[in-house]
Amino acid sequence: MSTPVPAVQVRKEGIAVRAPWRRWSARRWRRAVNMGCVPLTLLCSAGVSAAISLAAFNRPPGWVLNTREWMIAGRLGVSAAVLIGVQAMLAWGIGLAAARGGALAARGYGGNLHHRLRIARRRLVVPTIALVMVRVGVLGVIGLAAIFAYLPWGGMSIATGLPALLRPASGYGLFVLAAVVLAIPHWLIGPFLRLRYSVGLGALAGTWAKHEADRVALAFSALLGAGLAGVLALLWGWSSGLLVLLTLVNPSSYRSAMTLPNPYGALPPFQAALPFAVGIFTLVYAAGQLVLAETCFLMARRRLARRRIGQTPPPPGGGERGGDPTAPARPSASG
Amino acid sequence: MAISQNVLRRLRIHVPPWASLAHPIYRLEVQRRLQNRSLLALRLGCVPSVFAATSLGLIAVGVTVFMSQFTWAVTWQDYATSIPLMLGWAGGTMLLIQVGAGAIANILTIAQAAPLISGEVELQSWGLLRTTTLTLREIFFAKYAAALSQLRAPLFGLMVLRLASTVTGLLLFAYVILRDTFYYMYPEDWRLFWQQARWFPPLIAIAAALVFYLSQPVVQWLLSGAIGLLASAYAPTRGQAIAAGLVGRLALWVATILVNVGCIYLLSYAYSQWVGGYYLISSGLQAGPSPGPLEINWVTSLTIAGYMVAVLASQIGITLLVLGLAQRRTRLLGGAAR
Repeated sequence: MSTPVPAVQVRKEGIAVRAPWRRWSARRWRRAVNMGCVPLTLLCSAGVSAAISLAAFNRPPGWVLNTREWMIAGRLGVSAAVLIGVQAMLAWGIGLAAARGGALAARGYGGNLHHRLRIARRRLVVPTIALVMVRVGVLGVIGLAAIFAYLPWGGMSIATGLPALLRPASGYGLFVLAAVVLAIPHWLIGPFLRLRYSVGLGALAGTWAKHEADRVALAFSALLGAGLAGVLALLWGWSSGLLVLLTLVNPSSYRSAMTLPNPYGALPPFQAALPFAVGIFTLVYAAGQLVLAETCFLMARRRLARRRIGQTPPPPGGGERGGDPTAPARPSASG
Repeated sequence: MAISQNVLRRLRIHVPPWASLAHPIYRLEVQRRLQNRSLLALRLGCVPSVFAATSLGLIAVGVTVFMSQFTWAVTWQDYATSIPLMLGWAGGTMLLIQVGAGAIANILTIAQAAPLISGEVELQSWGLLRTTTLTLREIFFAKYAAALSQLRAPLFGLMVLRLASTVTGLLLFAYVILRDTFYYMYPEDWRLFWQQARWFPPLIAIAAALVFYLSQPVVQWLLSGAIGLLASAYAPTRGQAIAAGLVGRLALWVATILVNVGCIYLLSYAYSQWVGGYYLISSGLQAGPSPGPLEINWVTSLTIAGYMVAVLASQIGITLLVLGLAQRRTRLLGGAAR
């Protein structure tokens, strides 16, 4: 913990006076964030959900026939949206912080990289627990929606949107059950897997640079680039898959050489396969997180160990600037 | 810095001596820029910002289209219309991010290149630099390379975005061409399409368009650097050089748009006249036979390809011209000519 600089010393030695919050050390900041993040996250999520729910779904408009249904369904929807948004932001922030931690840990010759990465992960455990709690909240809201939809509370059930979502999958209970069994544990354990993967990826990216700032930038680029690659893979995979499917099963009826089905015909129950797809996706995603984390760690350690060959040992600080030919020299004349 | 040098060495790409850290001017300029914290933050933050903005934009597009289109899809036709919609929105989002990031990268490039020579003149060190054994050409291009090398990260981000939007655009094109053109072809047309190689001319046009589209970040990067250097050679102070460079870039941008619009209008007019069977000859407008579909195919495709190549060549030519002018001007700034 940093000690405050006495005012007399400041005057005598000309030490720059800094704002109290800037005087805090990194450890103090970390402790403050760890202490405050769980209550702050929960309070913010609950507060924002409650405020929007009460403001937007308080007085029903004239066209609403069932006031109770309108209010409950609306409030549940708003709560779910807010909680999903909060958990997405938290997951993003924790991922970036973990990548930064991994990049900063990737120094020296990689002998103690395992311990450094474990420390980097441990520093983010509390925010990750907060994220898991928010995700539990999302499950709670979905559970409430199911209870309101399927259990006749107060005389009649409420259309919360869940039955409409699940209707196409009716008759495929096994798929739904398998998807739920796979998706819910991953939904809750996923943040820890993501933390592990982000730290590993950050460490691997950090081995390509020596300066701290460069390492962190590379780690951010790697993590966000991997995210972008995932989004693009989904977009392109979905589009090209559907293009192939449509070409195979639904060529246009205008092509005169073939007898073809009606393009306006009803779809086969593909939505029933959605739970199956969700289950497979969850499995692949979880396996990817586990395997990639370990692969990144091994690659980072190997790359760091390679630095030892033909090089002088790094200075005690970790060698961030040791022997770099592009180290800053003299003040700028042109920019 | 070291990463790119290693990559170039491994790929066995020849790096000119003035663009390596062994060159004193290049090294000096690179070291000067490493001290600039704001530039460092911009340089390091550019790629993550571009990736983050693109990911968020694409997620927003995907969720919106999925919720509004796919959830309610009940017929094949619903799917058939939803996919191009999603691809179009995704491509548009990437294009918008490219425009914003590209504008920032252009401004940064000019801000980096503009003080290169004017700063030396302002600090009265240009004459001193010219008394060294280094040739003017080496000094000039070492400074140019050093300024551009600092902006490789934004260029990388823009190139990734270009590639992503290109693949998205090609998917959209495949979708449209398959479902809106090929499906409407009669069997006879389909046979001729392959037998007479009617697919070949559009392929040339698409290849030219792709080369043009993918090369734009690099071409604009070099052009902006050259404009900044020209402004630097003519302006007496760094501030004036940056202002002149930015104004010059803006003027060139507006002029390019106007010239392109004019050329496209004229070409379209001439094309429609030709397709309609009218030929503009010395004695006036004269009606003639209309061209056949094969001729139209070839002429349309080659016109598009030729236009793309011509614009690209003119951009490269302008860059070389501007660099030549700037180098010529620096000869007059003092010191012995070498």
